[in-house]
Amino acid sequence: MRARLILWGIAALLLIALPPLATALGQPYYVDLARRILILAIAAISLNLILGYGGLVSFGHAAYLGIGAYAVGILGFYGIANGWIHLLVAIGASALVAAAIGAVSIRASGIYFIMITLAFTQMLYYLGISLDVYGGDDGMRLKSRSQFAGLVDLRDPVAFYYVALGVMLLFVFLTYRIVNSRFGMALRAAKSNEARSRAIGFPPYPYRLAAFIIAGAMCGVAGALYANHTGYITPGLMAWHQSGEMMFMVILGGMASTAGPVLGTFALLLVEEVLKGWTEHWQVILGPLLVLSVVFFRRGLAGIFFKPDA
Amino acid sequence: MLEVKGLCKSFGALRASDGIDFHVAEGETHALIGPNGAGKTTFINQLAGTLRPDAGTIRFAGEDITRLPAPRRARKGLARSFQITSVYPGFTALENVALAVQARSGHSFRFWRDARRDPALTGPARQVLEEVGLEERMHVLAGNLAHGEQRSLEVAMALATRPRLLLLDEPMAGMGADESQRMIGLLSSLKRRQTIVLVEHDMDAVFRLADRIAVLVYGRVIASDSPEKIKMNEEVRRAYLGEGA
Repeated sequence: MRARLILWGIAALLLIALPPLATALGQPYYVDLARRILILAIAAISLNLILGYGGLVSFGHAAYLGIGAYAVGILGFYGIANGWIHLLVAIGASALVAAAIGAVSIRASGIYFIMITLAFTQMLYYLGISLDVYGGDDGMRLKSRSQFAGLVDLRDPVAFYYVALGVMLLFVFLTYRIVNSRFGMALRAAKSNEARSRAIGFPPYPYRLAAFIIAGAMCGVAGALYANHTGYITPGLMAWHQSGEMMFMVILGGMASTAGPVLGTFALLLVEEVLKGWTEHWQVILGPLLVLSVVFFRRGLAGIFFKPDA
Repeated sequence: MLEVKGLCKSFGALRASDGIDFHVAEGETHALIGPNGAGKTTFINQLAGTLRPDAGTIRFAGEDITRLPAPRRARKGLARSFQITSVYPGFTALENVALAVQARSGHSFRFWRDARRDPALTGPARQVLEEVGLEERMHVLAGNLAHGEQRSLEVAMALATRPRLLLLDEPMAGMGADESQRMIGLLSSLKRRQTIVLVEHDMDAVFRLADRIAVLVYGRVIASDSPEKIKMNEEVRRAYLGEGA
């Protein structure tokens, strides 16, 4: 426990020190890269709640990244720039859609659950393409960043970086509390042995659905931040390969571990970045690397440092 | 306490429960015996709510529960153990039992406090573990416990829900002689204050523990009586105990 806290402390300090270091090295691009990683790590943390702790293999988590992003884009389109409203709508809309998708899909299990979550997300993807008002296939440019008057200016890349870092650390802590609470124990128990849970009086459905909604809402926040990060929103955010990449971040980092999704996101995106610098055929190298990592690190990268939670 | 009437359940052409009538009075230990394939586990699964009967009714504490799902029955006080060990292998013994305590402590939509440091859960859980003799193993992962210990943990989890009726599906299954003796000891200490339905192959255990015995053969109860009378019953001898018994 103490060792974990120390490692988290070191990681947080390194991340806090990154912008001044990058500036000193004359490489402001690294701040941009790290910010993108932090935002996607938030998405991965939210997916880990249902995938890792809940055992719900959702192949449609990118939906909420898209909904959060479009919430910012569409509100901005109509001249609403207040960041708090952006966040509120991103969270609310993601939670609502998660409630609808979850209510239908969680009754199914195994491959059916995977296919239903995928199908719903593809529907949203095509909805995004068909909305010509909001750019359709081409996507839309953000009119202005979310505004948090007097608090922080997201146009400042370094300030925005610290916002992303703060939100990520907050979500790591929130998830940690949730998975160790009574709710989290009920959720994880249902993953471990559903028949046993039913027999002692836990119906798995309401706990899974609640987790699904919480994860959706958290990912909506990531989406809102992501829209501000890129300044441009496309339906591609909701495409199935985006969902797949998020699953990979979680699995690579270590399912059902606090640090897993963060480690996984950093590892995947950094390796991707390095390979992209070498060759345009980087995916040919990344694929086998990922396969090897899963073969050799069954418990993910976090498993190298810690024993995984149940 | 429990009243089953005309329970039927078929799997294709196989009638696993063929009009079962079964009564359990408050405070008694009622054993259910029968040869392999007689339909004992199918019957228990219908009592616990994991299988839905084709026909018949199950009344528990005066209420018709025939159509209630398993978790609702558990919260009404029907607890079970499984024939094939069913615990949470990645959680410690203490966490396993604490989860059962949690299940009976109202809803679990509590998102903040650490459940594993909640004395309202761990306190009663420790008590039950002491009762079944697992207190020294409480921090061991359930998956790493010996077989006999896992069987005791099963019983502990059922007990931790504070059931009004305990359904035990072959609690001695796969146990060595020593472990069986310990389990019999545990069950006889429970017997004084707990209503129990006991499915068991170990005849020594059944005749030591049961107040009444029902004999199930091909999905029918062919006899239901005191242990002494069951021992004397010709039909039961032929069907189950063997001619030489």
